[in-house]
Parts: sequence; structure tokens; C-alpha cells
Amino acid sequence: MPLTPSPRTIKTAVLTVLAGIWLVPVLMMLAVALMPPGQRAAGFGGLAIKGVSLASFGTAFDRAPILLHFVNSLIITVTSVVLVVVISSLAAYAFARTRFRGGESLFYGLLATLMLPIPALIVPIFQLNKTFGLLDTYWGLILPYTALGVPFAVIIYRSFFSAIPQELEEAAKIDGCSTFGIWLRIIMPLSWPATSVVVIFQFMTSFNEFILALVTMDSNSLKPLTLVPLIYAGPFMAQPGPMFATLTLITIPVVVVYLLMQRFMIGGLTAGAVKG
Amino acid sequence: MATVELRRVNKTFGTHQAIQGLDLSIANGEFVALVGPSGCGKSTTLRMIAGLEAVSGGAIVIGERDVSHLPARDRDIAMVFQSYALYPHMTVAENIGFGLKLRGTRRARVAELVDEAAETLQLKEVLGRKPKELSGGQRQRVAMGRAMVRHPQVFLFDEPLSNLDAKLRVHMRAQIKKLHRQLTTTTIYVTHDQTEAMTLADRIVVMNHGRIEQVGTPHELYGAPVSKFVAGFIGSPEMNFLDAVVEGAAETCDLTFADGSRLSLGPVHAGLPAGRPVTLGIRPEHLHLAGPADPPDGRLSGLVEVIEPLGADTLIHVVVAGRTLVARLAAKVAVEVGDRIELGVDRARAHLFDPASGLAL
Repeated sequence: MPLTPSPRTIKTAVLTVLAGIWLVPVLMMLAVALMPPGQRAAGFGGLAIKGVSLASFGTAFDRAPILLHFVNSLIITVTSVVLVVVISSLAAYAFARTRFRGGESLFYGLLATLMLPIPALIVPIFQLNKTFGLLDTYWGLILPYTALGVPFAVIIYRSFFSAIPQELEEAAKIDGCSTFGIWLRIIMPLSWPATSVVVIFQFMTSFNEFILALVTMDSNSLKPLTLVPLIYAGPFMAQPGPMFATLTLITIPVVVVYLLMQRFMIGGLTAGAVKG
Repeated sequence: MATVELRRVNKTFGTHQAIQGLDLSIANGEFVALVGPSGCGKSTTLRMIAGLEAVSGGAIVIGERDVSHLPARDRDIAMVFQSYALYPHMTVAENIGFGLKLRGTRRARVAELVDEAAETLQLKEVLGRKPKELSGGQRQRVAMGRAMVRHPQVFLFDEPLSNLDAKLRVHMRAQIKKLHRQLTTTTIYVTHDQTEAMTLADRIVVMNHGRIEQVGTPHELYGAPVSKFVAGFIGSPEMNFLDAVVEGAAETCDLTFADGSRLSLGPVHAGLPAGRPVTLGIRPEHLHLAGPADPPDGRLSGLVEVIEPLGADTLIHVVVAGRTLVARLAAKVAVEVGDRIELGVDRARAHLFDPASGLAL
């Protein structure tokens, strides 16, 4: 009898191949970051290196105050994550539970903003920051990141909130909760899966954002981590080692946040996507 | 404890009038059941009393206060929901004590009251568990604990037993009755199960199409229904109905059915003019196998269609005048499917309704 692989095996095999392809750039980054200083380029499409060295990481820490930039990134990212969670969950609660004139149009308007690519917004955001005196300040990045993160978060929260049985809120009303109390004490504690999706997504996009940071931040002491690799770019990318070592360092916080919250994230995506 | 009064209460959803001019007075400590078919407005009425639905007109008075426009949290009521509506992220103790905590009760006092409620409802062992770790019956009791711990003026129950299996439902029914006797809190209980209403309530409110059809004790509703609707809704199996025409002398009330067969109801129903169409209503328990004591004009003849032995008694479905009647007979009855039998009618307990309006005659 010929052996036919089960659909599950086929699925696993396809996903493994895809994951492998996805991993190639990450491996290339690691390879260059760990390349000994004498080597000029990694072989085999950038994956093969002769020997392993942490010298590039040493250079990265010597040449720039990595920790300071890391703290800058954290201040900007964490503030925007908190703002996005609070603003979008409150807005989504209103969208999910109240009927008001123009509510649907407002929601679809919000969805439409997702279609705008960040590069298209650079000039207007720069102008706004300039007008409000926010250039070269943390708020010059925190506020745009928050504004750009809210629409996606509202979609996730709204579909999640819609699936929460209304009787729970009614029971809380009778128990003595105000509308804000219901949001705070019932809805948000039940929405950890949705919150983890929003946190991961917002953390990832804010922490990794480059273009807006490049045009907004001028003072070295305020620059986020993503601007540090530019130091090593030079005309012919003269120092790929320290540059990729810094890029490796940038990925670590995102990976840590993902690992901490991925358990909820999978449930959150399902729960948010399927109204049950 | 408090009285509850509904004064000309209306509720409209868009153009649909769900509740029409409802007037109802509930006494202090009384247990009132609202019953009726789906969509009759019983749950809407309860939700308006709770403050979860705004009234479109009229007033709701609890105690001496007009609460019609007060938010739910200021009405001093507690409600048990059909789905229990327990907070999944809180333990049993936190669920029960949540309302007290929100009202600023001291932590020690909350623990004391939660403990007291848990003792009454036999929940002490599960106080630290989350709702998903509980059985259906336990969840139901937690929902009741959450309601009783605040000692509200009024308890509202919205079909609280409909998610339980038959055995547990009977058990919980007894628990609710015991609890009401113990707490004597005014209780309004919504159900579509007339047995639940009959066994629990001091008075039953039968609703239909957003109006009250009849209010009365279970005994009154069973014995003297004001309409065909109430007669059919109260009692299980439901009352049998047969269309007929009054014939002959007014003092005997002789009825003729579609197939030409006749039944004389005697002087109890005298006074109806000859030729008047009526609907005869007889409860299954008011039919019996005819014996020598039954006069020939007090019998209905029919063909046995189905026999349902229930243990304590037997239900026999008999086709009479083209309609199937159900008779509740003794457990052991010498009748076979296909037999032609004669049923004696307890004529004094027969009901007559106007076929057009459905009102009792």
C-alpha cells in the first residue's frame, strides 16, 4: 500500500519551508553580526562565516551609547503602546456597544486610514510636528505612532468586545458599575487576548519604526535605537559588522515581548476574528 | 423587601409596541411569576423593572420610589440571569462579593457576608474556584448568591433554570422556594415553564402580546381561566378544546359537535342562547372512562389513538369529533390503541369560551 502523507504532515512541511525562507534574512543578519572583524563578507549568500566573534557587538557598544538609545526607544514605544491600548479600547467599546448617529461611517473612516502607507504621511506629520513644536521631542514620535496604531487596535478590540456576552455587562450594571467601571473591571480584564495582540503589534511597529524617527529626531540624546545603524552605513557600508550587531540588538526586545505574550496572541487573533 | 408597582407601563421598539399599558401591583415579600409564550413581553417587563431597558411610558415604583428613570445600580434590586452571567475572571467569592465591594462595603464585612451566602447555598468548598470550574448547578447557586448577598429590596429571576437538566431543575426549584421562604424578599420570576410558575409563585401573571391576560393564584388560574389562552397555557398536558354549538333548552346547555355528537353540560353552564357557537374546554384530568354513574348525555365517544403510560397515571389520546383529546386516566387502564371508548366528563369543571374573542363565558 503506497504511503500518502496526511494533510497535517503536508501542512507542517509547507509551513516549515516557509518559516525557513522567512528565517534567511534573520540568519544573514546574525551571520554578519557574528563575523570576525577581518572577514569582509559572508559566503553562501551571506550565511556562511569563518569563525564566530562578538567583536562587532563590542564596537557597537563602544561607538554609540546603545543603552541610552534603547531607553529612548522604550520611552517612545511603551508610552505609545499604553496610549493605543487605552484610547483604542475605549473607542472600540463605544463602537461595539453604543448606537450613535454616524457611528458606522466613523468606524469605516477609521478603517480607511489603514490603507495609508507611512511614507505618504511623512510630510504632513513633519509639518504638524513643526507647527506644534514637537520636532526633536519624544512626543513628536509618540503621538504619530499612537495615531497610526489606533485604527488597527480599534478593529481588534471591537470584534473582541462584540463577542463578550452582554449579560455580563448587565450583571455588572445591576451590581453597581458605571459604564466606565464596566470597561475597567469587566471588559478589559476579559480582553487580555485582544490586548496582547495590540501590545505586540504596536510594540513591534513603534520600536522598529525608522523613517518618521529619522525626520523627527535631531538630537543624538533623543534618538531611538533604530537610528543607530546609520552611523555605520557610510557611502559603501564600510562597517557591516557593527551595523548588523546593532540591528540584532534592536530585534531582541521585540522577540522578548512576543515570547512573553504569544500564548495570548494566538487566542486573541482567533477570538478577535471570529464573533461567537 | 418592598412593594413593586407598574403603572400604565409601555415599551416600544421602533414602531413595535412590545408592552402595552401594563398595570401590576406586587405586595411586600410576594413571589410573582411572569409567564407566557416567547415574545409575550415578560422578559422585557423584567428588564424594565431592573433598569436594563428604558420605559417608553408609565411608571415603575419600588417601595415608595419612582425608579422609572433611575439607573439599574440605584434601584436596589438584584437579578439572576438565564446564562448566570458570572464574571469569568473572578473567583466564586469575588463574584458574590463584587456588588458589595462596589458599594464600598468594608473588606471584612464583604468576606463575612460572602461566607454567610456561601453557607446558605452550600458553596463554601468552591469559593476559590473560577466559574469555568463549576457545574451548572453550582454556577446557578453562585448567581443566586451574588443576588442575595446584597439583601436587595427585590429579586428578579430571568428564566434561571432553563439551562439546567430536568433533574437539577426540580432540585433548584425547591432551593429557590426554600430561599424565598427564608429571606421573604419580594421576587419577580420570569419563566415560560408553567410548572415552574405554578410550583413557585404566590401569584402568576399570564402575559400575551405585551398585555396581561390574567393575574391570580395558581389555583385561580387553573380553576377559573378568563380566556382560552390562559386555559391552554396553565396546566400540563394542556386543556382540550372542542368547537361546538349550543342547542336545545337554555337551562341544560346541550352542545353539538362538528360530527353531530352531543354533550349536555347541565345547569352549571345554563343561560346560553341556542345556536351560539362556543369552544368547550376540558382538562385531561377531568375526563375519565365512563361508568354507570355517567349519564348517556354526559359522555364523549372516541377512538383511542395513543397510550402514554407515565407510571403514576396514563395519558390516553382519543379522537373525538375530529379532534384529539387527551385524558389523564388511572395507571392501569384496560384500553388498547384502536378501541372505541366512552369518556365521562366532569361537567361542573368544564369551561366554555367565546370562539371569536377567546374569553371565558
